[in-house]
Amino acid sequence: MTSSPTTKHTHFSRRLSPTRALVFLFLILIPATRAFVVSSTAQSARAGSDVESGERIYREGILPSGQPVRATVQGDIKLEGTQFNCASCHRRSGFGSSEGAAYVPPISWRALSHERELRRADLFRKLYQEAQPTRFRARVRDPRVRPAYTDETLAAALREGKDPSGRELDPLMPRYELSDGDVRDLVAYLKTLSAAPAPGVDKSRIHFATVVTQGVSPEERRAMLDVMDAYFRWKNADTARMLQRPGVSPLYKEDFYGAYREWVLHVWELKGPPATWPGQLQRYYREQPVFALLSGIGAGSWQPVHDFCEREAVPCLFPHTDLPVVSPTGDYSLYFSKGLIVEAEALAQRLRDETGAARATRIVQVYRDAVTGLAPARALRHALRGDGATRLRDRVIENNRELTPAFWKSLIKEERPSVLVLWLGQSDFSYERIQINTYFALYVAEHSLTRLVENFSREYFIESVEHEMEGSPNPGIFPHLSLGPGQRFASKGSYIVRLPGETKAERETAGDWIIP
Amino acid sequence: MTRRRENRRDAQLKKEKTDDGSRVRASWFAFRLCALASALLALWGASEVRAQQPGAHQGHEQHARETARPHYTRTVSSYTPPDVTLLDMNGTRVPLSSALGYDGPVLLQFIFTTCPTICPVMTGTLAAAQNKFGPELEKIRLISISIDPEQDTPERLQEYARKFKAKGRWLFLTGKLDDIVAVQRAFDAYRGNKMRHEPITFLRASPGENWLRLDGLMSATELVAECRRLIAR
Ligand code: HEC
Repeated sequence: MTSSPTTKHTHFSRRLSPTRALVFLFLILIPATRAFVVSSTAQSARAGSDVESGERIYREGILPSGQPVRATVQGDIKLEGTQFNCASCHRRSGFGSSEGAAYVPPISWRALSHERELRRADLFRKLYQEAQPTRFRARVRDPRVRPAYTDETLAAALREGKDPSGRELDPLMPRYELSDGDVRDLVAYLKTLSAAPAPGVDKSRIHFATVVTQGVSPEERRAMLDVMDAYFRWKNADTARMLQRPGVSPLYKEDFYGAYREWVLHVWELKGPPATWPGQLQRYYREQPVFALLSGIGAGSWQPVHDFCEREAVPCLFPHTDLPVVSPTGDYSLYFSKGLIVEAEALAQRLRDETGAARATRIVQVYRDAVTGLAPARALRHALRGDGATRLRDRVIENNRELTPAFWKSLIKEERPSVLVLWLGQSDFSYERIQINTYFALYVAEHSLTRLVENFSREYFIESVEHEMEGSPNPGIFPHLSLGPGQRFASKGSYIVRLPGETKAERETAGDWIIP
Repeated sequence: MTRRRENRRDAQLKKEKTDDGSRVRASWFAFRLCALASALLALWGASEVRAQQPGAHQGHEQHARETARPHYTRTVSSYTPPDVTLLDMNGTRVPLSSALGYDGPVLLQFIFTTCPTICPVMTGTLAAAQNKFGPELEKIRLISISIDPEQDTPERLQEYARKFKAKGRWLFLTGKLDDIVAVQRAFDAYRGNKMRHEPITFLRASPGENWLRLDGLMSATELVAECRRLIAR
């Protein structure tokens, strides 16, 4: 690929947002337990059918009786569903995983209902693109052919660890204590696992969308879309080249012919008040279902887009937003960081650490009556709770009020703050930052998609991103990016910076990387 | 670094070598992957070279290939842990030297709390071993070091410890990313990406002694037996 997409907009002047940097930023914290409560109500509402009960055993390790499922691994280690479940190892997608020396096979219904077949393309990465111990490589290459599973042989695999050929399964595959009813539920669920094709993919094309919301400037919009256009054009040209001359097959490319798709990008513009965005998103999606949302840029809360992705089970990768949804986190929405929220939390930690500052001082936070002020202000309050928070004062300013020198003078006089926190910043998106992060989102998406080969499952895609993230070239906006199973924010901390001033021309970090 | 491989299971190994060797080869031809053969050779060659290099994987890699079956291997090594300070699950700073310098037997593993497949089993092995030890447990220190320290805050480690019913002396440690990488490197356990980490348990009987390194997953009974044998020496 030409490197032009990341350099295209260098003629735009870099826009710093000193106010935001000055105060760093904020959070909405809802106790973590809430996520749990929400998901369990959703579950019980759907309880009843075999498939739903089976899904609960698979994903949560909870039996229809409400008890955790019990199992024995490695011969004598008893574990419960609260400690791990089928999805831990075989993953939500059912496509399995490769971690360390452990190879966990796919158990999608397609895999179980057929004789074991080994396809080189599916194994390609596992074999050649990851440094794995020899033990692992030997295991993956060993086809261990077995007949298709039936309901009875599946029950034997789950309870006794025997496959249909009579082979004893690896002791890492737990031996489960399941009643006949539990097995029936689980098998009913396995029959649906990754069975339906993902929307947004056909024989020749894969559709993606990107969201641009109201309030984003034309320059910001362009910074993102130009990179995306260039990437898609390059990607499709590359695919066309690979598909030419099918007789010649260097790099085993013929094995991957089935995986190639033309990438199609749809730009979903959201207009008007955020309350109308869900309807707009549904309309776009009805018109053309997409496999995933890539990048995207929003002013204000990202909640409506997040909710859409969770509802439709559409992966939503690394949008540019200051206000990602932090709690409860979703299954399908991945973010660079918690944005303003992690900044508020980091600030709280710094204030707390500074020799009792929070106790002895009067902190005043100033923000406008809008979500970009309210959310971080709430987050700071929450993070300081029980620790000097009583001395935290809020000053909310009406939205169109001008901040004149007189305003600040009287504020200082009235409040006498020892620490002044201003949540007045515009978004911190410089154009370079938008470009680089867009490029990175596409890079990770492309590489993760390659891992799927022809298995276009959205859950498998997310699992693949979780896996690829740490090994991807970090463009440097964030000091460290990584994900893992279930992790939703790739960068976990924040720096506090000193603003350019009389002595220093550049922003510089004031202190260590803070992980709140 | 000194390293000594112990071949207690030699007889068994030889048998496995022939069984698994032929199976691997048969399956290979069944594939008829001519084009792939050269890549495979290159790969094979690379692991050969690696196995001949001193240090790192010398003993156990080769051993593992021979068995081609997930079971554990043993090596004895001396490691020089870096001089870093980590955080325990209460947020208290703990110099690594004092954690590892504990005056009694130490069992050490690298894990992370969102690790799906092998960590629950590794941690589960220690948890089950806790219960098998009986009164000896009083003398033994278990240590689990997170290799995903930015995610695994002290609070998350607490939650994880609770989930596995960890008892009193079991330390769960996190820290600065660079420090954690340095610790893994010192124990030859760093694989560049946490998703690639391997199941390894390190044991040592008393301060200053060599470490017994167990690569692979095992039963709690086997782990307890390894530990007892080490202490008895
Ligand atoms: C700790 C990780 C782990 C967990 C948890 C786990 N499995 Fe497995 N599973 C494995 C491994 C490893 C294998 C491969 C064993 C072998 O081939 O020797 C396997 C194999 C299987 C197989 C046989 C696949 C085949 O092609 O023959 C089935 C079916 C299966 N698992 C279903 C389940 C179900 C259902 C659950 C939850 C109730 C579950 N597993 C939980 C690791 C796990």
